[in-house]
Amino acid sequence: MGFEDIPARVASIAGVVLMLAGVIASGLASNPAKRVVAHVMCIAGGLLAGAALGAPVALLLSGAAIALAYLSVGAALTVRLSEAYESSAVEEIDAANAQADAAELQS
Amino acid sequence: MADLFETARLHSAFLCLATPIIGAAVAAASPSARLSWIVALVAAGASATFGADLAWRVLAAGGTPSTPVEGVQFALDGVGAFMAALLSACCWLAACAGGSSLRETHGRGMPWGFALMLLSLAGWIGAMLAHGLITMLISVELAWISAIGLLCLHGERERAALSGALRMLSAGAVGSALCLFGAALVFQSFGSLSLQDIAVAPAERPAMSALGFGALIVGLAFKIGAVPLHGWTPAALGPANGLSALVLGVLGMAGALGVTTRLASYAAALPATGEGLSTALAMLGGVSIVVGSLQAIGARNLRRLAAYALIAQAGGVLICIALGSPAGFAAALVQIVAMSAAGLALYGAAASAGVGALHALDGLSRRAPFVAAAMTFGAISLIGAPLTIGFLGRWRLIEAGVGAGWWWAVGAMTFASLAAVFYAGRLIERVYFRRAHSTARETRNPWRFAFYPALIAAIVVIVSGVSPGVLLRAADAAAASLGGGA
Repeated sequence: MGFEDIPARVASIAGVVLMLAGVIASGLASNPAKRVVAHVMCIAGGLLAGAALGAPVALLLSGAAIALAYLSVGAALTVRLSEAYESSAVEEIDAANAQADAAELQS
Repeated sequence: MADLFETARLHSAFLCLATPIIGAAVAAASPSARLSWIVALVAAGASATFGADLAWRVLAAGGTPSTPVEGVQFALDGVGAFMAALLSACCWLAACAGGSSLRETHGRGMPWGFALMLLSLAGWIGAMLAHGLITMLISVELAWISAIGLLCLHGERERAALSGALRMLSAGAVGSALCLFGAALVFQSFGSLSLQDIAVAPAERPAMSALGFGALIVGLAFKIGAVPLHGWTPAALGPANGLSALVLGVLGMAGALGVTTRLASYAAALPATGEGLSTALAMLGGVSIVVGSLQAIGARNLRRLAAYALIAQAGGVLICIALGSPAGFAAALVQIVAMSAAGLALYGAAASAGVGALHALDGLSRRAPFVAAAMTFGAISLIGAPLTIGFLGRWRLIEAGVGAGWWWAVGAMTFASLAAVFYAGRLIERVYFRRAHSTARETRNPWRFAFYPALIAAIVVIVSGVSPGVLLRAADAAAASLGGGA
């Protein structure tokens, strides 16, 4: 392994770690906005690792466009969720859904 | 006129992709919901026609049809042509059912709904015909995000759909990240992202190529809803309306499985990559069958039951792909058709009957006998009863599995069939052998028109099982002209 490979390897490892951090954060996020940020973090991690591996510019640009799309849709969804549930907490949203499911089964 | 016809045939791959995109733009701009529905029908029907012509030329005539040198580049292989035709046909059936949503929503938001449905179809078709990994990934994301948007539209009537959409977004984002990373690894190994270059060039770094394809497959597994990556499926499909359920549960799942099949057909031929990929797919498939079947047994909502049942079916498809042989890929395609037909029958019948919870099925055979029949056909196909297409799919898998010495795959499919006897049998028992609890007269459910695609799917379920020659020849021809030459 040459010394010139080290920054690229560090960057690719950092990208993978960022991706994993994004996955974990997405699962643990307490509100939809944080979850959306975690999504973008995950995709950014994938892009960072890809860039370190020498991925073509077209792939990186495509990834950036995909990340932007997820951010836009996620932001809109976050607003819709807070309007529909009058709450921004994922736990409260899940509890409301569980209540609605139980009511449907009893009806 | 003949020249126009020949020109259209020459460009059938492009037209199969372009008509839904153009249709989506026209539908979104339509001044009325009814007009947008007609546009969606025409666009999906045109795409299905071009897809069928493309599939005929690739599969029946043999070889790869010539495509214009200039313009958009496609890579036409057997799996891509087969799946493009299937997906566009499924979308047309979903569009037929979508007309009844005009009454349910009073037309509000429906132009956007039909536009998103067509964009989702365009995305999956683009992935089937893509020349390189970049185009494939962008197409998959177009399909996925469009489906999320369609689910969000239903959020105005059913807020749980928004929660399901958020879970879909999470699954999609993680899957995308993995796919992007996987594509970068593949580029490192082959120096190209073109599928045809990957098929012929030796991998400079075989381990990296195996890791790259593995990441791509796992990224796509999020979109398939394979266990344990299926957290979004019941949350999204449970509260979905008829159109959303058909697009997500049938078009989306078949599309994701089709892309996985196509990608695996290129990877399976690579010496260092095939074995590792096979193991990963087999594990995903086996776990999906077991967990999907068990969760379907415990489901109390009809759409969630159908979702889990289709996850179990998808597990069977993954095992077929894992075999890595032409027989395995042919079996995978037959299974995908079986899964799509069963999904159309179940989701369409559920929408037509206005049924959510399972207990609402009680006495359905008296209230709506044809809907009950369509649901029954879908259910018995899930069981894999003889003379149904579900039996055909399972038989081909067992044949391919025994040929490869994969006796555990035979056991897995047997378990899936036995589990299906429980949950599908429960459906049939409620429909035919229980009385409805409520004595209220049946209201004219606006979704009753959703029955027609379900009826067509039910007919496909039976006819393909009784007379499977065309389907089997098409699947064998598709597998014989795999992209990677596996």
